[in-house]
Amino acid sequence: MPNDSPHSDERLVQAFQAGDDTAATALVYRHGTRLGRFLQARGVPADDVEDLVQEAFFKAFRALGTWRREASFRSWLYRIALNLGRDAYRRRRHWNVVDLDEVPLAGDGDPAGLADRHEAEDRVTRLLPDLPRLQREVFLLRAGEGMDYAEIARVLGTTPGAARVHYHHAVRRLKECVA
Amino acid sequence: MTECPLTDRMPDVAHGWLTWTAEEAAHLARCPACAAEWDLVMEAQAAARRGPTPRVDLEAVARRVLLRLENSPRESGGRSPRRPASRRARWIPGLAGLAAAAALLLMIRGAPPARIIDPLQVSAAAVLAPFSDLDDLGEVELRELLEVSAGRRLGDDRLSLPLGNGLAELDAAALERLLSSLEG
Repeated sequence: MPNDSPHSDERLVQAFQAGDDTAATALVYRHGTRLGRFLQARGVPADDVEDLVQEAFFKAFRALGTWRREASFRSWLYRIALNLGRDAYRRRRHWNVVDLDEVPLAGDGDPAGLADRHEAEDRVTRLLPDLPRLQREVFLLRAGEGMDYAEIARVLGTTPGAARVHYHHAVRRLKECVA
Repeated sequence: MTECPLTDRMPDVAHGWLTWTAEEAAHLARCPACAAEWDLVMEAQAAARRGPTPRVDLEAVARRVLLRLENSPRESGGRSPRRPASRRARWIPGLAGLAAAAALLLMIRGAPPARIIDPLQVSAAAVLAPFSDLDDLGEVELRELLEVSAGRRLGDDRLSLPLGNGLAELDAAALERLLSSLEG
């Protein structure tokens, strides 16, 4: 959520533009891991995730002048990363798109609670691949990442209204499936 | 399309950015459709959090990104790559020497008097003037610029100056030998 705190993304970006490298490092630490997970969930091989994360931050920082501030830094960064991922995928066809069913859950070694967690989370991971791509992407970004519709629109290159419609369609279909 | 009245707020509440009002909480407790949707949102959020964590060395990423930014040309409005302040200072003596050598060469080659260039008037600043953004150039680019600049000012494609060492570092005898070789 955007905010005006001294450590908001926007403030950190301003600090970086003013020459404060630690602000850039803070942004990498804030978004790097989730961005990596976002890319990996979209089929980027684990060994390539770090390179793409680095490239996304590099491109984002280098082109800060083109960042329109009505969108959050995060959505802008994710859009860059998504485009990089697509480009890389086109260049390297051997990449396998990871089926969400095959994504292992962290902490699988803990037998206690594993069944419950699988039961709950597997419903979503099992059902999502059946959704149309945009519905799936919007649902993951909205429910999974907590982005608002304007951010999602920036990431996916659509409009907030269209993102909202996709989300509601996704929710309706998921609810029908679990009913 | 019938929508749950809480739909648009659910992800924000799930992420802890908003909280349910008492009225909303009461609705959620008695509406099976909303409850089912709330479960889906919570599951999706949990799955996103607990998904496989890729191996990303954030410290290394930050370090490499900053290093690349230092060595890359800026884009419109982005932050200027910062260069050591001494870099320009390091090249100024070379450029000044080059300018002086160029003027001297023109005089030796018997250029028309009206076109004789007074070495004192060919300052480093004059050489630098067309290239006001030298700070953005890398070492290779600076070398190329020097070579082009030398060729253009002297009008001689054969010119090959020992730019690696810098003209300013040549002693008088070495400079004389260089000029003699250029004279043929």
